[in-house]
Parts: sequence; structure tokens; C-alpha cells
Amino acid sequence: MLNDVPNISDLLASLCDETISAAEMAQLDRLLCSDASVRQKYLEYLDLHARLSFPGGAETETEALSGGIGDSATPHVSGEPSVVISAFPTFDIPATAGAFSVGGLLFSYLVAALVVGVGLTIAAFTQVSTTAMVAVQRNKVQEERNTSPHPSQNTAIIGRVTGMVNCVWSDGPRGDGRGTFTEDAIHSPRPALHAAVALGDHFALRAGLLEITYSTGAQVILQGPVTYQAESTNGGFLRLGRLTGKVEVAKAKGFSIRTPTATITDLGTEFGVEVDERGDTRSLVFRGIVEMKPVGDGQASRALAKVLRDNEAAAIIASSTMNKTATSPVVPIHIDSQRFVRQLPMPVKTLPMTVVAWFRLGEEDANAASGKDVVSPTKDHQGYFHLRPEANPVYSKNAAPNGSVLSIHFDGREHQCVTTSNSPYLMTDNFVLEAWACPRKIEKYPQFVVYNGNPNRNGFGLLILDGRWHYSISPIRMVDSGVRAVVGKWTHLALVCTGDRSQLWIDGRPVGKPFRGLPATPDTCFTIGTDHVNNPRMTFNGEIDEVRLLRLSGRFSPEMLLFHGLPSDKESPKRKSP
Amino acid sequence: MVASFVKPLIACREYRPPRSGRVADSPPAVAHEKSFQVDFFGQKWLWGVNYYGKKNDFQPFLGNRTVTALRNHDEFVRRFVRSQQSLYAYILTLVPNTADAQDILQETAVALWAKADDYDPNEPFMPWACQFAWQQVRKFRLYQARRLKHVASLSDEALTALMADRSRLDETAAARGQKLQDCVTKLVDDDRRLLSQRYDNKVSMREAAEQRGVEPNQLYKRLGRIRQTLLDCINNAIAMEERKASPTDRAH
Repeated sequence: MLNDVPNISDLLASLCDETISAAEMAQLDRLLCSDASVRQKYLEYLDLHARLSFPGGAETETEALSGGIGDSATPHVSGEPSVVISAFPTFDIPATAGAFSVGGLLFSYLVAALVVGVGLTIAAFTQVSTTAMVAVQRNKVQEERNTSPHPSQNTAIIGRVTGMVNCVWSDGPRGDGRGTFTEDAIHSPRPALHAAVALGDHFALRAGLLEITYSTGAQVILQGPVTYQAESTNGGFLRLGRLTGKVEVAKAKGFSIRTPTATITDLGTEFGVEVDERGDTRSLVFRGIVEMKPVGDGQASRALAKVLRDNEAAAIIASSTMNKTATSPVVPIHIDSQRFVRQLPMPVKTLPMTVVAWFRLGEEDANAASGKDVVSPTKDHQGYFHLRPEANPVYSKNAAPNGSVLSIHFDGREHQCVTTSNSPYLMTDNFVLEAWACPRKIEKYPQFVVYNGNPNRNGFGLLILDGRWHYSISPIRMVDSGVRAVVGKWTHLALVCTGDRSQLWIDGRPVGKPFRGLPATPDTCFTIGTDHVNNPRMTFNGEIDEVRLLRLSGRFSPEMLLFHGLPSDKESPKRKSP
Repeated sequence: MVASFVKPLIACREYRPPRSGRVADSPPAVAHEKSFQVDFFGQKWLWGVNYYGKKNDFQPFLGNRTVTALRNHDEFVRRFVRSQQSLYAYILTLVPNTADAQDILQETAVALWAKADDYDPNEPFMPWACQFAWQQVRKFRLYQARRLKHVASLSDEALTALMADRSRLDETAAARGQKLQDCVTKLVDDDRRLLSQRYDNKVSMREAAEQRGVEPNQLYKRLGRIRQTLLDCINNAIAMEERKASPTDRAH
């Protein structure tokens, strides 16, 4: 698409030189709305322009700023700091009259004396951290790092998630970053499509398929249930489950998969590896050559290594490896090649959508556990606009039946999760707002599951009204789906607005006829559990989970939704209040 | 005698906060609070310790600021200074006018400072700061819509799309800064001079064109080409670095 727009560079140059005309701006705007490659180019170009035009030029860290408490000295940034941090207000000390006025010498002495006195008193109260406290703090930080939605901020990026199909995450085993799994609390990450994979990242899937493409070009497709760690720049540790490895690039040759009992080194090929709960490892080569050897660097291990070729399979049995009496031999076996997924079944990568916001409501929040109050912001999976809890809603293990493990329970009175300021999501067309909701009590008044904006004037949202699921596109109207909201039943709701029409999808199916009309631009908060304007009158009573906002850049498809069918009645999760 | 003089000026007594309903923005409930109110020359200062119910889980505070928050102040300023270029870049992508972007950065700095106590140093700074920047951008756009109707700007939809796509760029932000320095040195002298005139000395292209005896349009085009060259150089350098980071070369 970028090639079809030969003047995009000219448009961006005009924009940066501030010579762009209104017509050119409109053309640029259209391109930005419709083409991801243009957006990428725009961001890179403007980033460059910003770095060049930023006063001081380069990124600067100024030691002079790290003064003491209340230090209001103007920082010296190299170059001419037209962006002056002295715009910061000074430490707020109330003014007094006469000799003790702010800035007076006597006043300064008195303040200094008071600060020293208070400091000494606080020091007397303060207990120096014990070793245990320090250790706990370090673990907390470590956990924070490992659960960060942007692992790239902490460690080297070694690849990307390039495909996801119906992924159901599990808490899974926990690792110490060296491939050996311990009791240390490090949760596996739950990445989104295109998310960076950092060195040491764990992936624990209960179901579904996940494709990781390493920077070297090697690819693995993990088949749930599986536990895998990206432990090197060209390899990984498969603790449990099945994967297919593909090495079609010369520089990725040597890609190796380690298991509890074996090391499988790829010499340019496509192969499958399977590890069961005992640690038995089985490998099948689809094409090319693979070397399989028992764990260990000893001579015995190397002697037992076996080279597998096209359609050959072998196994290494765990028991003999574990008792250390002898290194297990590589035993030729037969494996059904159908057990391995060699290609992702559907082109998830090409779905014309962007996830603008994704509130997992529990899974990515620090210290979240069933029954605990939501006290810190619930995280946006995309990493930008986290939602602040109000009146402490509660985490619940009664989660949406799409593989989620936690949801948030709202009490129908004051509980809500809301953006700290006005909604950053300003879309009015070509978007999808989806959520899972499980009502506990149905009231006579509107009960908002989620609302973006001010329902009296603008925005859009999902709600229960008169016992039926509705959606609102304000200021036009509330649209009745005609489907009854059932107490204790999880329902997947999706409001799809595209091409000037809006429609509600319930449990993966469109309900009613499309309604012509679009909302006005939201100008208030994005809120889950109520609408922020009318709170506490229009609050939802029950659990809400997996709220997402998608921007469509093409035709809507139900594959985009986080709905993969409901469990049968037999498998239906226990309905339990938090 | 001294005591009788000082007593009216400095008085200290145990302070018991009024019992009231939970405020939405307040921190977690304080299990036990030991605090004193000091009358200091007519000003009331509160200091003491909040216990949050667990052993060793407490927050000393002074006035309305916790001591931890005061300690975080340094960290906050340090992170702001380190991030202000990225923050400026974030703003400039949304408001592509350098003067407006700098004004918005100023306003953002003030807003950030007002909320400095809320900043958790364990959280990444940029996402937190970007929320404030976004609010200032919104304010500016409202002002622009009312007062500066003749100024063309991007639509809300385009901005939302750009914000959603920005995370990919953020991953390479630090590397981009370093590579830019290298790439600028690779430019030919005259290009580097033109770049410096435009960005360091803020010379308008019209003036520069007069100095060189050429049409301004030629210089605009040349500047566009220089930026494109730099962009290609940065992208190539980052791609090369990623390739070099691969250890497979050793395997060959």
C-alpha cells in the first residue's frame, strides 16, 4: 500500500516544515486512518523530526536535578532548554507574614531546623529493613519485571509472537530464568499478537496455538497444553507439551530445543518435539536433519546422540535419565505426524484490526487474586491507559469461559474501574467494543457493563435495560437486542460499528438488524462497571471480564472476537460469588 | 521562660483524623495511624506514621506528603528529564507543530509535577506520563477547534490509530536516538550544515535560500531528502544490529 502512495514522504516533509496545505492534511489524514504502513512511516518520520528539533538535540540525563527534598533549582540541560523544568512549581510551603515570610533568612533557618528535627524523629521511628524485607522487595520488583506487558523494556528482544489461535493461558509452572522450574512466583506472560518476546520469557498455554518467530528466522509453533521458555536467542526449553520447529533460514541453523531429558538440535529442517509429564521426549523429523541426544555434556551423552532424517522419529525415556545410573539411549519409534501442527490454521495475522485497549481485569494486575480488593490500577494489555478502581471492586475466580482465570466483581453500588481522565479512545466508527459479563442481579435502571464517554451526550457502551441486553450509541439512542440477560450466566457482548451502522453481537452471533447511526465523539471517561457520569445510579452488579476495544481497518469478522464458543453445560464453570 | 515564649508558636499534640467515609482516590485503609499536629507559627503541620496493618508496612508522612513520596521526588525528576525527549516526540506525533508541541510539553510538565506523589517508581514512566500529555493534547485540540479553525489538523480517528500503533516504535526508541547521532555524522558537510541551520539555529528555509541564492522550494525538497536519508540510515542500522545480535554466526 505504501508503494501506491508515492507522495507520502512529500506529505510528511511538508508537515514537518509546516508548509502543508489543508487539502494535503486531509489526504494524509485519510491515509493514516486506512493504512498501517503509512502510520508506521508517519511515526518514524515524526520521531526523527522530534529528535532533531528537540532543544538540546540528544536525550539528556542531568545529574544537577537530583538535589535534595524540595530542590527547585533550574536544571541545566545541554543546549538551550526552552522546555524548562523550572516550570515546575516549587515545594509548597505556606507563606507567613513579617520576619517569617517565605524566603526570609530567619524563616529559612527555622524551616531547616524543623526539617532536621522531623528527619531525626522519623529516623527514630523507621526500622532499617531486615534481610527478609529486602528480599521480598527484590522479588516484587522481579515479578513486576516478568509480568511487564513490555518485556523489551527489561531484557533483550529475541523474537516476536507472529501468530495466535484460540490461546488459553494458564498460570502454569514458574521458572527461575534458567530453564529449571522452581516455586518462585514468576507468572508467564500473556502476550498479544506481534508482542516482543524477551530472553527468558515463559509461555504456558492450556489450549490453542502460539507461533513465535525468532530474530534469527527460526519459528516454533507451540500447541497447548504446553510450557515453553525462550531461553536463548536461537532456542528454547520445552518442559511439557508439543511444538513444531521450522528452520528455513541459514543463519538460524543450530536452533535447539532443550527438554528435561534431551536436546534436539536442528541442522536446517522442520521437526516436531513432544514432552510428556514424566519428561519423556519424542521427536519426529518432517524434512531435513536433526540431532537428538540425551541431556548432559558428558562423553556418554554425546556417544548416544542420534541423527534423524526425513520421517524418522526417536524417543528418550525419562526414567533412566533421572536415576543417573545410565544415560538413556535414543530409541527409534513411530509417531503419527498428524499430532503436530505444522502451520497455523487461519490467517490471524491478516485480520484487519488493531487492538486499541484490552483490559484483562485480573490476569495482568500485580498481586491480583480471587477475593482480593482491586486497589491498584487494572492494566491495559496494550500498556498505556490503565483503569483506576473506585470503591474497591473485588477480583473473582468466576472468570469468562474463554480461558480467563480472573474477572472483576462489581457490587452494583459504587464499584467501577475508570480512566484517570477523559477517554483517550475517540473513535466514532469502524470499531468493536466487546466484553464478557455475568450479571448477579438485574435492576430496573440501566446497568452499564462498559461505557466510553458520556451516555447523556456522546460515546457508546453495553448495558442491561429492562432485563435485556442493550447497546447505547449516544446521543442517538439505546438499542434493544431483545435477548434477556440471565443471572449467573456469562454472556459475550460485542458492539460492532462499521460503515455508518452499528450492531450487537451476543455469544458470537449478530442479534437483530443493523442500526443506522453512529455515536458522537466521547468526551468523558472510559468506564467499566457503570457509566462515570451517572454513577452510582447505573451500576452493574456481577462479574465483568476481558473488555476490549478494537479499531477496524477492514471488514469485521467474528474471528476478531474473544469468543470461541461457550462450554457445554457439563463443563460450565462453577458459579460462585467472590 | 523560653518555653513560655515558644509554646504559643510551636505546639504539638496527637492528631486523630476525623472518621469519614472512604474517598475514592484515597490510599488503602490505614489500620493504625500515629500522628501529631504541629502548630508552627500559625501553620498546622501533620507528621507521623501510618501503619497498614502488617508488620513493617508503614508510611511516614510530613504534611500531606509521605516521606516515601518525597524520596520518590528525585527519581521522578530524573526520569522526567530522561524521558522528556520521548515525551516531546509523543506529543509531536499528535500535534505536528514544534512550537505547539513545546508548549504542550511545558503544560504536561506542570501537570506531572502536580501529580508527582502518585507516581510509582516501580512502574514505567513513559506510559504514565503519556496519559498527562494526552490530556494536554486534548485541551490544545479543543482550543484549536474553537479558536484556530483555519489551522488544519489530524482527525481524532487518525490520532487514535496512531496511538494504538505507537508501541512498536517505542520498543526501538532508545536505539533510534543513538543511531541518529551516527547517521548525522555520515551526511555530507553541506547537508549537515543545512540540517543544523534548520534545527539548531532555527533559520527559516526562506532565509537560508536567500543566503545560498536558491529557491526556498529547492531547500525544502533537499531537507526532505536529508530526513529520508537519515530515516533509512537509522532503520538499516537497527536491522543490522538485530542481525549482529544473533549468535548463530558462531554456529557456522
